[in-house]
Amino acid sequence: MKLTALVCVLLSTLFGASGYSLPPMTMARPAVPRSPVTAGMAYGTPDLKAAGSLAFGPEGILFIGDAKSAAVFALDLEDRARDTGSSPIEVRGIDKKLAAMLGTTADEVAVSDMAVNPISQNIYISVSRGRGPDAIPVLIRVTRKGTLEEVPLTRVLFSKAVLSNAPGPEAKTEFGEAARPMTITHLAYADGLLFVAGLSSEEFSSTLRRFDFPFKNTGAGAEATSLEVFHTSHNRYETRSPMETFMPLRVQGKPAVLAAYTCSPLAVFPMDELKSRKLLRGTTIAELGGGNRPIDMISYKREGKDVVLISNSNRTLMRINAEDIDRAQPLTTGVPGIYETSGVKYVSVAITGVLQLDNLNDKFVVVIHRDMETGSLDLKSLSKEYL
Amino acid sequence: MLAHVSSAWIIGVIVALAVIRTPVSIVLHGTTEPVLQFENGPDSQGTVQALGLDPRALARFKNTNPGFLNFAQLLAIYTWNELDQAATTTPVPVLGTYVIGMNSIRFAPRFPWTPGLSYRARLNLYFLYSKYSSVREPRPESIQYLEIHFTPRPWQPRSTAVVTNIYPSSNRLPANLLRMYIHFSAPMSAGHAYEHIHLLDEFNREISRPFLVLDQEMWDTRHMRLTLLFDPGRIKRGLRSNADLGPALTPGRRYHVVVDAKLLDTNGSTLSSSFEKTFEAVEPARGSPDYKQWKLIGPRPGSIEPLRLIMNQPMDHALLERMIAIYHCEPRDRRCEHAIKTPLGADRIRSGRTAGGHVLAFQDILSEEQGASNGSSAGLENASACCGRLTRIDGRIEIASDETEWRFIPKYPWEPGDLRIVIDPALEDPAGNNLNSVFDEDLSESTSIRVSSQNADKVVLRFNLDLPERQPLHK
Repeated sequence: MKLTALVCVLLSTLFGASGYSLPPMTMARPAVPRSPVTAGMAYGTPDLKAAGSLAFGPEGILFIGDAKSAAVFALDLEDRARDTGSSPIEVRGIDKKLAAMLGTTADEVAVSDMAVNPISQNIYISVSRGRGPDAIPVLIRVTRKGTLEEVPLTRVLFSKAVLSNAPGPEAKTEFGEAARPMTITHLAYADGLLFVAGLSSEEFSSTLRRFDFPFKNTGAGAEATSLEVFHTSHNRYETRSPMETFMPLRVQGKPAVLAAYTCSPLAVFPMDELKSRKLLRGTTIAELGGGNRPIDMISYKREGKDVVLISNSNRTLMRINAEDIDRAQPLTTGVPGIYETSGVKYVSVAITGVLQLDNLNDKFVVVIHRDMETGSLDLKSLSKEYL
Repeated sequence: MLAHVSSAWIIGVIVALAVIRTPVSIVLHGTTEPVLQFENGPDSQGTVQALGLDPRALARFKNTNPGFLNFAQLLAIYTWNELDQAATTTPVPVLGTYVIGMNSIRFAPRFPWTPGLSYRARLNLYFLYSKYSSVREPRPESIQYLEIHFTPRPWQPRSTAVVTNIYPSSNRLPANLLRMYIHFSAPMSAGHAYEHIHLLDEFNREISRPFLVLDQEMWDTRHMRLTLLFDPGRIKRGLRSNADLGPALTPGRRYHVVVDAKLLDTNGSTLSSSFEKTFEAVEPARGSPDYKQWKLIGPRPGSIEPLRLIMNQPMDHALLERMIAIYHCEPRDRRCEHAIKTPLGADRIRSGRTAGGHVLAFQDILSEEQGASNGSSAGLENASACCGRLTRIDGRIEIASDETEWRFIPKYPWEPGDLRIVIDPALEDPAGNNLNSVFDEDLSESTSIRVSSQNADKVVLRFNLDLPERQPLHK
């Protein structure tokens, strides 16, 4: 015992003399010529307070929504090794594996979002370790081999855009009070613009913010244009409503945003009007059915034609032909009864419990899925051929 | 207290058991016997240490520039659960950093140890000596593994958190109620709130899906306040979930919001008791709050009495705390000084409702500031050409009378003068209607969209605080 204590004392003097720490996945190389997408970025440690919504931008830039800071971070993870493979990936019990990695129990790990880097096919997952105010944001990468690794967020090239109408918790509003917390429900990038949908916990509005990317004035935070988005489901009532998920899509050959709402309508907004107008009314083209919340949307080619796939909280995966969206007429009448649907028709794909959804490669989509029978939370690939 | 905590740590270390896979232990290469131990530290930052290792083998291992997974081959820490669950697969080690000493390795976890959770540390001596030792063949009787288990910070159940308040406070709430705030006495754990908050009708039948379920629950930064939104789809007229399920609340009926005791705080403890708020649903609130009906009750100059804003209806509790402010206007020049000292007609209206205070009706003193200043101080200055400078008065806010009264208590005694009350028109009532627009507008009843463009950036009202020589302090 004494000997051990002595060894401890001796060793304690040696600790630190030589050391090892987790190697950063991305090494700081300030001298590297920067591509235009990294304009305005600097090497450092993003002060990420929460890791929420994820979206990939151009050239492997990852956007992370941070609701606690009311900000979006753009990270250059230098993950640009192209993988054109078509193989699937599977990680069973991913919540338990994450818990083991993070040294805690599965119920202390919350998966916020998942996004696939379209260049490398690496899968990124935003995770909260802990469920209290001290919860730690963690970014996880699932490699093509199915191994989980933490993406270190030190010495990375990044920029930050603050949601102008929602300053961070330390910031004071004009009225001097601490800023209100909000949630960022979804991020999407298209044509040099990053769209951010959020919901304040105190005021209610369906503001869709948009940022030019690369962010301007990164030091002081980017300016956002507020868009007040309305949708009419009955041709009579006009409402403010939170956008749950959305994606860029060409509708009738023109760039547009397809948005799904918490109270389940599906609406289309022309991109040029989103860019130019402060107030915009969308066209409701489908009612996906009551008692449900759309979670994620992707598009891909199936049998040579574009389709949209939607995952839902209380319904199956839904597949919609993009052609039907092109031809859709605005919905002006309600559905006759409870849980009924109308407007653009969809195929109910017989898979439930899809909590996260993204394109993996030309053959597969990747999902995080709660197995109804075993309760297991799995990351798995679904063949596009059978969706 | 400190001694108590320390003794708990010591217990954690003592609990650590050495499990020697091969019963015979030996001394390798003349070094001390290998020891694996957990040493606790402050803030759950204890380390796992392997001591008494062969320095030469360790040096060779270090020269390979090992990565995390290489280190984990030598010394890995697992959660107890992981080793149980991963019986058939490769267990996932806990992330952390390794430091090599002369004859030791120390592991520090990337994240704090989880209170109450047991871990196992496994030192693979066979890996070190078979691959990196100068001795070609480790003796068969050598220790191959050392394994300990430890519980860094015992879980201490406490049950002190309670619901302290639910807003809106009134027991009569509009049937199109949009938002509720639940305040707790301690930080709460997120992720399961919707399972433990229930809306029951007068027969204690649970209302199905009344609240908007969001992936990210709406906790404030301290996790002591939860925002609950009634499903907007059930409030809005003409929307599908409204037609499907109908509004959650029906006027004339009674409801109970119940927070059951199973909701966990951040210590993993349940609430010390459940909480129930009973209310009656009344007719929906469909219009913008009419702030012209609001009144100010002035304080006495020289006092720190509250300035009271009396509203004709309840407003949102959280927004009241940050959307109203009081400014002091300093006159631009002597001419302005005179103008400012001359009270507006309206502020001669007096009342005996407070000691020395007088009531100012908004509709009489109203001066809405329109413009595109978007919250800059320029907009405030436009409120009066005579204001040389507007200075925000420091103080604290109280909300009373079921959110129908806003009080401002200054940090320093009130000085007589020209003041401004500035209200953000985004201030909402509990049904989500703000001063500019309503939550749910019936287009057939209006000719245009009443939003942004034609609305005020802020509502600015001028009022004059009692001037003792003009207005009596006491009625």
